[in-house]
Amino acid sequence: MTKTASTSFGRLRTAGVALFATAALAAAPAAAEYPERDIQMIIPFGAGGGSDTLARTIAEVIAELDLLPVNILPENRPGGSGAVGYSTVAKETADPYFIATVSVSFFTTPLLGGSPVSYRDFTPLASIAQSPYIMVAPAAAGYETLDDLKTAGRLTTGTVGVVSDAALLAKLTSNALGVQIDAIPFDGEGEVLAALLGGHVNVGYMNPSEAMSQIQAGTLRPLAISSAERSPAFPDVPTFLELGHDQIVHTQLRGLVMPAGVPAEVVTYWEGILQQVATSDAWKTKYIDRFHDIPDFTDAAGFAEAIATTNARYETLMKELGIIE
Amino acid sequence: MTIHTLDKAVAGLLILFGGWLIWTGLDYGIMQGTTPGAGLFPLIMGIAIVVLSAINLFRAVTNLETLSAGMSRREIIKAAGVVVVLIVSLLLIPVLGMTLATLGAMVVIGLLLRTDPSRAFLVRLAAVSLLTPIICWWLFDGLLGVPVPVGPLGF
Amino acid sequence: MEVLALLWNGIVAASDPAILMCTLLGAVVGLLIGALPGLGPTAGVAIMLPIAAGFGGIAAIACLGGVYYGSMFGGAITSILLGIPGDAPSVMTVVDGYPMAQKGEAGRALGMSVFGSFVGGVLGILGLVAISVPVSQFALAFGPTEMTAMMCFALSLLSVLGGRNAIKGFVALAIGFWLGTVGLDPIAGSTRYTFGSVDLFDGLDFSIIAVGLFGLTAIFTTLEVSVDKPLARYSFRSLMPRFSDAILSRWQLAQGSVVGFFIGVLPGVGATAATMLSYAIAKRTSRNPDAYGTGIVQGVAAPEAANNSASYGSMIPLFSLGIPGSATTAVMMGGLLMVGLQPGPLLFATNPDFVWSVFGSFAIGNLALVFLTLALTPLLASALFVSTALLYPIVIAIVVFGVYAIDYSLSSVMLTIIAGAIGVVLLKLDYPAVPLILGLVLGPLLERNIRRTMISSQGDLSVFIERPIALVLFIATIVVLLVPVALHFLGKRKIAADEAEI
Repeated sequence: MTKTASTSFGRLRTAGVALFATAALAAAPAAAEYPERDIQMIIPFGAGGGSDTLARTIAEVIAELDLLPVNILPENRPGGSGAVGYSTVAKETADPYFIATVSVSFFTTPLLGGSPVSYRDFTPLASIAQSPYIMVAPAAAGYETLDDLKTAGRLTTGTVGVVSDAALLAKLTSNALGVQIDAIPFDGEGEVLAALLGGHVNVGYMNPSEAMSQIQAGTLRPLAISSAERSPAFPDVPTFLELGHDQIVHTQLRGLVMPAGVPAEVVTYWEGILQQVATSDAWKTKYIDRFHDIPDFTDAAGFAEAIATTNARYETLMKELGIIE
Repeated sequence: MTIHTLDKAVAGLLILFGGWLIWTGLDYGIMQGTTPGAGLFPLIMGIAIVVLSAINLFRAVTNLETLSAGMSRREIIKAAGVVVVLIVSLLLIPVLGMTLATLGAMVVIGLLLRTDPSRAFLVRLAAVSLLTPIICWWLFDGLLGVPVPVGPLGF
Repeated sequence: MEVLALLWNGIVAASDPAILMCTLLGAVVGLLIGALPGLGPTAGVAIMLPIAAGFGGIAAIACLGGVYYGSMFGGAITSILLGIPGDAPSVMTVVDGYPMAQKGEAGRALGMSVFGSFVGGVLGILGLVAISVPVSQFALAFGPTEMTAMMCFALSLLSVLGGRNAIKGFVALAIGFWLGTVGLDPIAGSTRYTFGSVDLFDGLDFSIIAVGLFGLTAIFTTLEVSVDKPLARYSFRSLMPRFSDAILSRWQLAQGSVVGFFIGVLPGVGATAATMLSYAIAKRTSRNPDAYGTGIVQGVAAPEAANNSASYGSMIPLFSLGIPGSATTAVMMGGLLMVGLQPGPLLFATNPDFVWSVFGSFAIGNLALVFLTLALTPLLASALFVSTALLYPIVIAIVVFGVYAIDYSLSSVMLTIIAGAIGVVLLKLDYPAVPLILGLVLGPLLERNIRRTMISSQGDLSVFIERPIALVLFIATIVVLLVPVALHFLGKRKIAADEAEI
């Protein structure tokens, strides 16, 4: 109870403070020490999903390590496949008191025409982990290695949404192996997993946390991982790179953004905070060990570059699929 | 307008609507390679609506369709009144906040429903109109964490 | 029975006061959220998630489970009393429950919904503990092809819900199918009928349309009926549940539970489709199908049993395979992760105590809800004594807040009002609302699975008859469609003979 109550009161308080801040700004331009009030963390999805857990864990770890003099107030703003929440953040241009995490929808919803704001409307701060994809096949299918797939005439895979990392990786793998891989869009990760376990699709590209329990149970067999280096959580799974496919390196960066136009000092400030988060034990036990992501800190410049690259990849994929011109 | 005229008008409108679905369906694309495209389903639905509504129109014109009594003028005015009040209060929510706008809507709708209010009724209406939005605000915003739109007074 | 012993141990473990408190808290919150128009189990579990996570371990999941099945109990309340579906899976309860309330049998209808929920719950829990392993394999056998066949079979059964004028019923179905296409087309990646609006990008939420089309329409058309007198003439008896109804509806209860359970297991189908199917089967197998929709207890029994047992069915893929087959179980899976458990095929093997205690808490929560809701029934039913000039403003205010809470959008509230106004016209012109809602629920499932199948088979239609499950379902579809025709030619003997009985 206390958590939701504090959120709503927090919102009221910030609304009030925002009014005061605008008034104060007109009178005295001198900026006090940042941050001077609580920070709104907008989660553009419902509670319980991957993005929600990520955002809340970051807020929790920052609070636990006492890195900020103020509080972070997480608030779910679901709707429009992320468009509602991300628009809420983007329209607070240059306000360093709004923060959000990136997700696949951060890129795909604007590209599919579902959002008035795109990645250009945000200031990247830093990323604190990367989430690779593990290419898997049902154990019953008999594929032991990536090369075994070459024997198949044609394969199918499942994806959530037409434009997704799974669809992107399917395209890349297909080009690399010279085997046709068709991506079938499903309505959720669960449906993809069910189709994979039921043998209705041949291969899948899974998040580490989803793949882990199935691999341990022996129902799915890992073939390759999409990160540049092997993941500590899956030491036995080779990278596509090792297997000689150097064009298949694609991970999801777990990072934070603010509205566009945030001062450079604020970005530097957050780089510092997030570096401490990424290297902390609390982050390792609360997130990395639980979700089996790869620990990694990327600064603002590197993160901005990764965002632009990811967006370009999705755009290329959409052109190849004929969704956009 | 009698209920039968309305029946004919709706059947006619549905034929036009179905035609529009067919047109948009063709525009979205019937096939995408070897698989059905985004437009196939709308196209089929459009054809079905056009054909079935044509039958309905024919039945209505030839008086094959029997309908039970429609609404009285008084009923229609009241229903339309409630819809208008709701839409107006909805448009006022961004200005007044949801709690105040709903409060206003409740009072007006209550008076619309009982056109000859007694004093006792007015007191009760005022009480529920005050309490319901406040309880809802507490329930949805406070307990369930829904960001209910707030007005200038902060609720 | 070994599983019963294990379940009993689980019940004992779940009787721990701390766990018990969390179970009851979840159940009561679920009851409330289910009863509020608009908000359903998914929203409820999501809202409770951060709070429940603080309880840790068994208590957390017991609490989230309580919200889930509690909302299945609660959804019936507003459906019956006001004709407003409290959540998506209770929409079929409106069809007979609301007419019962208008006839002055609100208590009876509410009582039946409690019995239905309880029987569905008990059978669902037994299915969950006893046959989850074979059933989860059955669920995996359903790929896009089988799902397409299943939807065709469902639609053939559901054709019985068309209303008086079959042609208008099909028009309503087609409109519902069209409404289901609004938003991003997940197969082709283009948007359809959004007119550039961001609000429509995700498609139309089922509850937004259903609350308008059933609830607001019911209000708009009864504004003049009963301002100065209560909605119906009540005796004290009308407020009380009738236990004999449970005996009277035993077949519908059993059928609803079984159908709900197996439909609930299928990933991506959901409890709403399960209630529709069980209602249709109840009507089809009835000797007096015309009585359905006029307010009979059997029409409340079947869908209410189905939605509760579907909620347990949908937990099977989650607990036995680690697959969240529905939006609600996806949030519950988030809860499992938050308390430090890895949902997957090994969950039963690695954490048996945890799983059995959670199942035990389901049994306790289910029983607690029966007593709670039966005790509340007279109180709730007496809400209809209130003059509509006071009741309707209250209800409308709750609808505005409730619909807004679905996706925090005022456009949704506008859509609900528009759906309510259109609903009045459709009702007066005899276009039935049920097929429209069916189309909205089943249309996307049918369309997407056909297209998935076609991508998979590269346009080859023969897959539909090559796969055994699909073939059987298609044959069943044809049989269902042909039986009435055959009966017609055999001289309608059956129908004439049964006319006297209810």
